Amino acid sequence: MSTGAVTRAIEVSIGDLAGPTFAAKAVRVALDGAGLAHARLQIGELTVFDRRWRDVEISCTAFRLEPSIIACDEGRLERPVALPIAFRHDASSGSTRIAVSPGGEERWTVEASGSDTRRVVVRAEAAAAARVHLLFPDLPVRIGGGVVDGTLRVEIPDTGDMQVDGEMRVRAGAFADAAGLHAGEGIVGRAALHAQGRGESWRWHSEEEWSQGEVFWSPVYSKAGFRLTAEGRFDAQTIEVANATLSMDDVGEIRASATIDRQSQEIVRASVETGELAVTPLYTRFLQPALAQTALGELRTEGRLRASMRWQNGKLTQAALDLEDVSAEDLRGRFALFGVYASLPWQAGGRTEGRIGMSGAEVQRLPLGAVGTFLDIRPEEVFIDDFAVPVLSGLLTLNDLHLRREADGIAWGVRAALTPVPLAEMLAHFGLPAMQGTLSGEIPLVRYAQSTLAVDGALTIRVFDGTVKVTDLVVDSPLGLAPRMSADLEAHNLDLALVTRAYSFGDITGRLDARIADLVLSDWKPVRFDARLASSPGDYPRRISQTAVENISALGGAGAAVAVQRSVLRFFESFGYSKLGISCRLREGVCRMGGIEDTPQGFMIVKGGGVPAINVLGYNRDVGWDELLTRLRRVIDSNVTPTIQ
Amino acid sequence: MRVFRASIESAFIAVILSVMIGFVASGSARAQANLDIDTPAIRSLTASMQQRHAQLLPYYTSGAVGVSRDGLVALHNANAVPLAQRAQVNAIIAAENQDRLALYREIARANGHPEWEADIRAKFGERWVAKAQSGWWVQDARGAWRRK
Repeated sequence: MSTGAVTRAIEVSIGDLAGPTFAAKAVRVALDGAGLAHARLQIGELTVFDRRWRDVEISCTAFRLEPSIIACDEGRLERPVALPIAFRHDASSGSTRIAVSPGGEERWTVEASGSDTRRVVVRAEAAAAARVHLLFPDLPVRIGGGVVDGTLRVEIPDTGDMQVDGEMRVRAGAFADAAGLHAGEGIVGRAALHAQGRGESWRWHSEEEWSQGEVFWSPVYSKAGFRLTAEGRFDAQTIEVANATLSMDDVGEIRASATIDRQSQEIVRASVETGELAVTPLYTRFLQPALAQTALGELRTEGRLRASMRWQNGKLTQAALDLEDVSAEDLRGRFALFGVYASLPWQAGGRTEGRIGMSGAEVQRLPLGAVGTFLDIRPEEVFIDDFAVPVLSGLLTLNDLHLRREADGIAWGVRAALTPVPLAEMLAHFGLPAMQGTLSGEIPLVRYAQSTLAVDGALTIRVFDGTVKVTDLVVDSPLGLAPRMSADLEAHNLDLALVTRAYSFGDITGRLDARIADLVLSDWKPVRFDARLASSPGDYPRRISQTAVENISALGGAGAAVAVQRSVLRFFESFGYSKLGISCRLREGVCRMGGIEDTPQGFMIVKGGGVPAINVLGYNRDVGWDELLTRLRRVIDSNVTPTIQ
Repeated sequence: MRVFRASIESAFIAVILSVMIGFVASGSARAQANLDIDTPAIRSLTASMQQRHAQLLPYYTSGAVGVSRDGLVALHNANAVPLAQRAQVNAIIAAENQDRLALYREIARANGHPEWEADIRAKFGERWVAKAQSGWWVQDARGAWRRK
């Protein structure tokens, strides 16, 4: 203020002002300067939409105070933040306009007009999305970027319903929380809202579209391509969402509705129902990233599914899953399911009938045929009608399959039987040498609970014209990373000719009994057992070929075989024997070997009988298990001649 | 333990070995137990963990993944990873932790003392933290993250 000029100053205390969306307490205006054109507006406490600021101050260098107009065309918000601001109030028309230009192209305007019906229009142009934190400081995520254009129109009549219409577009939106578990980048989208009502009672509908960008909302990552429309109403008691429809570009539609009690925050009733969803994008977009590094992480999928769920008073009352022509094929060839169809309805308080089936499957490339059966679905368990899976030319029958939900997961049980499958057919599928005989068997009862698979009774396999019985079979975490299996095995009357021919071991004619007690496998490899293989008692032809003698000897290291080759015995193709037997007690990677009887130097594996007769002796009592396997593989691979070092 | 000798230069294996030795030596009653810890399952678990270690290494370095105090790994700061890869980092962490839990269980089981699992896990937890490279994020006893 220059000295000499006429100086006047006015300070007015206005008190409190209030509108539908704001309240200002302790409002004071101070005017000074030439023509009182310099104004300072102070608000002790300003509340807008429940958000409160203290000590707000606006200064104005070109203030006009006329009978019907109060205007500040070049004002400045000084506190709590510094921003250019302009406002004009026309008392004759009752209109007010406030404009804020924080910088750049960003501009906010608020216009209020009308008397009987007040109209308020809030417009944002090129607004920084981060400003939402001014209104909502406690959001779980920080808005890191984004430009918003939007309009909000509110009509407030003296009587009747209020109308709210909002429309906004976001571009280059970005948000993240501190841990990075909820974040979005490059977001482009729009949202529109219409609401009508008064007091606590409102009807609304809204439409949102997310057209570009990506979001990670742990554990789901997704790219844009969603549209959501919804409508509903809310009052003092309930929030009701009706006809919410979420459309995903390539996946399909999900429809939902819900009624929520506002006091108890409980779901009174709700339903979610999908349209026909495409399995391929559902898998690649939502499931695959989370399933990476598991057995289900590399699948080729196809097919369609539908799912629905209903809740009543906070509890799930109904659910259903329908699959149509779904296939899932492991790209590493470990397993595959083809043409799966299913109709699986579930009810909290009743029984339903479902059906399930498939056109085929593969396990380790072993093809399984078409299967179909019905299910008796109850609230906590499922009984599955007996069915049969074609396995090559045989049939695996599954009886009394039954699943039950328990506190620590799903428990199940099943009985099974396999009708004879030619071994040659099965082995050919695994690229193994052909073998005569058939494979068949019965599995009395398999139970699975608490990640342990146990077989009750004896699992019987008929193979090599004899029987193999497996008892006390237990597998701990069969699908886990460290499966551990224990069992006792007993084999009776196996045709040695079939066994030895199958493994190219060199022919032995006779019958074999075997007992492997206390067998423990870790990761499907033996770590412990007491095994004893011996010729069966009884009367039958017993011959052992030169090759087999050499191979048996080679298993024990060098020694006996060399002796055979050096002696006159090398001119015979086969020998008679009266007994043969070998034992191995595996502990800590070492096989403690024995034979049918001990000799001064070692143990006897083959005891001669008939003409010409031959005894095969073993000398090394302790052989490393890995070394033994290597020798066995070498013997089988070399087919005829063992390598003698 | 024969199987470990061939690749002992790996710091990773060194941790496993040192815990096993440390554990055996830690109590005389336990030292008397016949520790048959070289099982095929332990071999396949350590092989799988070793293979994954190469995938985890850049995430340890960037601070995305940290060594938690409970013998596992945990997401420390996902913001260090592009959005599209974050679900996969979660999957790698889940797979690693599954392996680790299976390993602790298998070591206890192979010792014939499944009830040692918690102790074995705690010992491993200490060693993983102690052996973490400088610059990696580790969790202290109270659960707070610090940069080594």
